[in-house]
Amino acid sequence: MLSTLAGCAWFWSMENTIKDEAANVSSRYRWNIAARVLLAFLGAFVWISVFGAMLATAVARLGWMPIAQGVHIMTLFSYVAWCAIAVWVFYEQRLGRVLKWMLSSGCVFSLCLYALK
Amino acid sequence: MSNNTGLHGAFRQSMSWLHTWCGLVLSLVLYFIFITGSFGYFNYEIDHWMKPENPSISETASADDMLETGFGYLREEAPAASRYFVTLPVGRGDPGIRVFAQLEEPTDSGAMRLSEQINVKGEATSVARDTGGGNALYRMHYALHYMPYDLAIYIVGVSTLFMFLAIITGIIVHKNIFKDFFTLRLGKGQRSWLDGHNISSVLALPFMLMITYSGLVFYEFEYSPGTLFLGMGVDQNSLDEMFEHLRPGRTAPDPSGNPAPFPDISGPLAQAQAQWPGSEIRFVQVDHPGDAAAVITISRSVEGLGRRGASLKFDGITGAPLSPPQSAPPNAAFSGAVLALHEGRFANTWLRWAYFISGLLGAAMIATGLLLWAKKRRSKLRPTVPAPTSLVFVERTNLGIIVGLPLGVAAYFWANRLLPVDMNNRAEWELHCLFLMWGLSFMHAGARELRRAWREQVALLAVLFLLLPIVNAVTTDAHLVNSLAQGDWVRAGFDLTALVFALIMCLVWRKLAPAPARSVRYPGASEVLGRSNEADA
Repeated sequence: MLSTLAGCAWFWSMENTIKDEAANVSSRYRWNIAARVLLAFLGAFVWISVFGAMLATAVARLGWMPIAQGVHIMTLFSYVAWCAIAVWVFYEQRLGRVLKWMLSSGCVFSLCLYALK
Repeated sequence: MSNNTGLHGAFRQSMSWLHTWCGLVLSLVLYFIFITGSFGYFNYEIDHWMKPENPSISETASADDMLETGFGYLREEAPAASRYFVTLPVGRGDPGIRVFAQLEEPTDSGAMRLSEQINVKGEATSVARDTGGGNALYRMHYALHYMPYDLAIYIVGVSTLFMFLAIITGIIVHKNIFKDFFTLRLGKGQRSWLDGHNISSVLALPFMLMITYSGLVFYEFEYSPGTLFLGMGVDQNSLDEMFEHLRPGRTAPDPSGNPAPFPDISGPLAQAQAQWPGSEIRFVQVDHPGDAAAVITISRSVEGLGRRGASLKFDGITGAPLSPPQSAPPNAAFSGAVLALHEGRFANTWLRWAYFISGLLGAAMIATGLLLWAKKRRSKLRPTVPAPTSLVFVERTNLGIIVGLPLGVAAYFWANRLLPVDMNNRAEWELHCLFLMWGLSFMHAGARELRRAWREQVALLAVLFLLLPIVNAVTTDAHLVNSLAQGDWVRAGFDLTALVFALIMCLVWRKLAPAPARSVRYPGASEVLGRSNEADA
């Protein structure tokens, strides 16, 4: 319990150090970072899930492999894909561009998945 | 938009920002995972040391005799069971025969299973003290402690994902990765910590990549369930279909309800041994014993890069082989190989040491990263300006994390020898000692002047490990001299490793000494490990 408390305090303190250091950082910048974190984690997770399910269903429909195999292969691949998306999200200067691309491709994949089911 | 954080710069600058934050945010959990996971590579060996009542060299017998003993024990102790399981002592596993029964009705204590370790005479060997052993350390690296299992694996999963991203971005950042590897500038303050961080990272880079990716694969459908749910649905049938795909033939048929004599193991065993000449039998499982639909499964020990050895199934009544074994699909074989690499089950003693050292290098990478981060912030301060409280706190808690956890592990080993053998919840109290010591380390780091606190905690660590073989000798007969005399290199190895670790800590302690002559020899030495922090006192 002491260790957990100390760990929490350490984390809080580290955050305060960042605040001390980046007092001149605008709130817009903070929101931008928060949006990128959300997009890199939740957005990428949803996108990869839809893309993986669509691809696995498509190869199963084509008779190339059972759907369980396709789903498993896409799951194994998902961490690498997630990493690539996270790198892109944090590099791309215009966050809207990432958002547009992920939303549009995600919608297309969702429709394909719905049609294939 | 402010650009002073390095996020929106060139590609490598952005990646440097991402690398720093991914590595830092959950570094406390990652450090814990790496330290406890490294000990996990010697879980059976640590178990052996922590159970001094167990004999140094276990008696052994032929596979046939040990199976007969195991099933005899189960039939006597658990006559009504839906499954019997007997695991033979093969390789570096437990020294005795492990028997397991899935009970049809709960026992008086509510247990639905019987799990015991017996010797070749069929006697339970649970005479050893109640201890968490090496397995408690191993388990904590993925299930943590003092929290529900389901929550813990997700905390570990998110931390592993951060680590994976930190490693990938770390590779992108270091364009001169091999040049950096051969660069170590001692006594250069912040630069020295950066070199140490680079060396510990690059030296074990293949291990780091493998261990983080495979860590994610361990709980693949927990950490990345979206594809499964969207592709196959969320019902139990989908999960069953997936698991049947990954491990074909795993599900046993339902019982017939017609009673039958207990299956004769000897015939199927002879067939299996004839099919696998030179291989060792690892376990034999009997589903629905005493039923006409009984099935015998015989598995050999793992050979090559895999988690499970090949297995054969036989009819429990006729002893005839059932359908030929189905091989796993390539994707399942791949994930099996990845998991086997993570666990290092195939590793011999030397490779196991390489795993252990690589794990500690991973912990060193995290520790140097933490110190470097604090050092960088301090170097930006003007000497006349006092450090912000938050930075001082980070520096002190860094000490609690980096040295405190090994101190806790040392306390865990001491507790194994010093707590009363007949104590209630003894195994749990061993772990309480670990966390109490860790908590005390944080408190000490907060209470003392930082430079002194570092020296004192490192000194304590050295003393605890140095005295561990002595405490062992005072409290048990399984001490170093006896272990060496009996050829028990596992127990002797533990004591000797403790002594070597104590020696290394002595050298670190000496390095931390505020010797003026040392400052002349290495002009930047005062920068190392917060020696410029006297102002904080």
